[in-house]
Amino acid sequence: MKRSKLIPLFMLGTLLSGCSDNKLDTDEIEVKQNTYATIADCQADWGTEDEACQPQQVADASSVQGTTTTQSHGTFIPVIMYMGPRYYYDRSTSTPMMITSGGTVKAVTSPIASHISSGSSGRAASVSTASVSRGGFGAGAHAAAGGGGHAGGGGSAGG
Amino acid sequence: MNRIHVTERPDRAAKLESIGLSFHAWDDYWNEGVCYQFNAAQIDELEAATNTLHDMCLVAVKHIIDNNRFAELHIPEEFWQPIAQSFAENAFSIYGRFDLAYDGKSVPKMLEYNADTPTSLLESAVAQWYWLEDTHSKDDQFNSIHEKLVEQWKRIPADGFGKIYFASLKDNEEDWVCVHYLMETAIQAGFEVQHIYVEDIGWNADNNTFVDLDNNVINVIFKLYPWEWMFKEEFGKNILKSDTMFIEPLWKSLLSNKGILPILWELFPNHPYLLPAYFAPDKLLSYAKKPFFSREGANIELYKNNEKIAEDVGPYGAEGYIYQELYTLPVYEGNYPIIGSWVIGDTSSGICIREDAVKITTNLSHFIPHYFTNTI
Repeated sequence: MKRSKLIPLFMLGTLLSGCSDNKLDTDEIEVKQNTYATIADCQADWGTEDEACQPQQVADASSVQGTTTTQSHGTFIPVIMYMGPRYYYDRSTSTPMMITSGGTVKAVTSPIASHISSGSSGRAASVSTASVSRGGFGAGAHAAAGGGGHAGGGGSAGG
Repeated sequence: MNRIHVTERPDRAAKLESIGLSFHAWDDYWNEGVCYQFNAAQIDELEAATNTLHDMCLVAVKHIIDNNRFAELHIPEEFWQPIAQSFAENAFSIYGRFDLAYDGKSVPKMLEYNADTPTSLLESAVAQWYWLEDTHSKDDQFNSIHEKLVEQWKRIPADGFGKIYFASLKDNEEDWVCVHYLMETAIQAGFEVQHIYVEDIGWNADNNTFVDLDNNVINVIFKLYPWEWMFKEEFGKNILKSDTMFIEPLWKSLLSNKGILPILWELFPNHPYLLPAYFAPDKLLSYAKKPFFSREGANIELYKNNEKIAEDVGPYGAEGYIYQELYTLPVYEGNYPIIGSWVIGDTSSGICIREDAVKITTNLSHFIPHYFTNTI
């Protein structure tokens, strides 16, 4: 026999409605993430939905305002801090946006939204930034678009 | 090899959609009102030819590297050494698809090798298998693509890299379906997977890493996006700085390049599975003029006695063309079938058939299921 004995599929049939998920689409943004001394501060900014506040060990919290680092015999004892979600300000729509733990993007509706819009970071003890550029792949397909195909729309990369 | 009219399954649409083939009805892409019937000897011949051609292609890749012939294939110079390194390290490959001309009587002829971004995978591996189960369960099919894919994923040589990312273009459902089927096979091999759109791949210049939308480092990524486009795009230069493992690997860019065809003919002149092919236009009277980089038949022109008899338009051809001897495809009731012969890892693993009413098989062709039997 040259044919497959069995082809179990666990995922595919359930995904047909999933090909237009709302994902981040921007050329360059400054993504920020706030660190909080307490979960109460974090949830005051971000609320309690989307698992927005996650505990994280910080080896050296001495630079974080509002915390103290415990030292014992020359060894720093890790301190638990709380990380809010990654977020950025969408200038095109003047909307603060957050990136959920699942990778989708949604508008920020929690109390910190007004702070982000005014350029402040709410109750955060510190803010980290990462400058990540996007959109550096894909131009070839869009240049080739127009040929149609079964999809009848954008350029295809397969063949 | 026969083209047979058969009864369509009344519930075919629901069945095809239940396995994820969402675009089966677009331009009547999936056609099970007919099928192709082979005998076992013909299937054995296709399998053997595919394995032989794949081995020859690996020889050709080594020849290009050893003789520094990248420029003839219009590969940017900064990628020459990384491609050579990728091949020397036997960088992991999951799949490829030969396009063969075959009529069941003459030996198969290689038309090209889509070794980088082949599609039609779900319909080849799954949809035609379920069709066989429903309609010809006592017959056989050359198609063990699914389990070969699962087994091949298990051979990926890295440990501790986290999840495998799978990238496809936005606004292209066929590509989306293809990569999600590949994700399914990787899951069945035991991996964690995540989809990302090609356009959403990020570059973190602080630590020279490609990242996902959460800015997590992408260590391994399957990209349904051709190398020749990646080479030229803004992030192309970043490939050389990063440690990301790309699937298909860099060395596959030499095989999906039509320049491989004249090089194969140089290395294996008069081989029965090859058609004469040249970089120069003056060696043949009747030929297919193919861009070095082209997809789905675009910008291919057919000439008979130096007169153009067919063409497909498109955006390709800026880098130039190669010239391959014109081969008269078999015609069945006005349809021209092409055999897509799948290579998983390094092994011939199954076939698919797409047929078109014109002599150039394009992305408007129809997918026709097949079976084989020992009784003809």
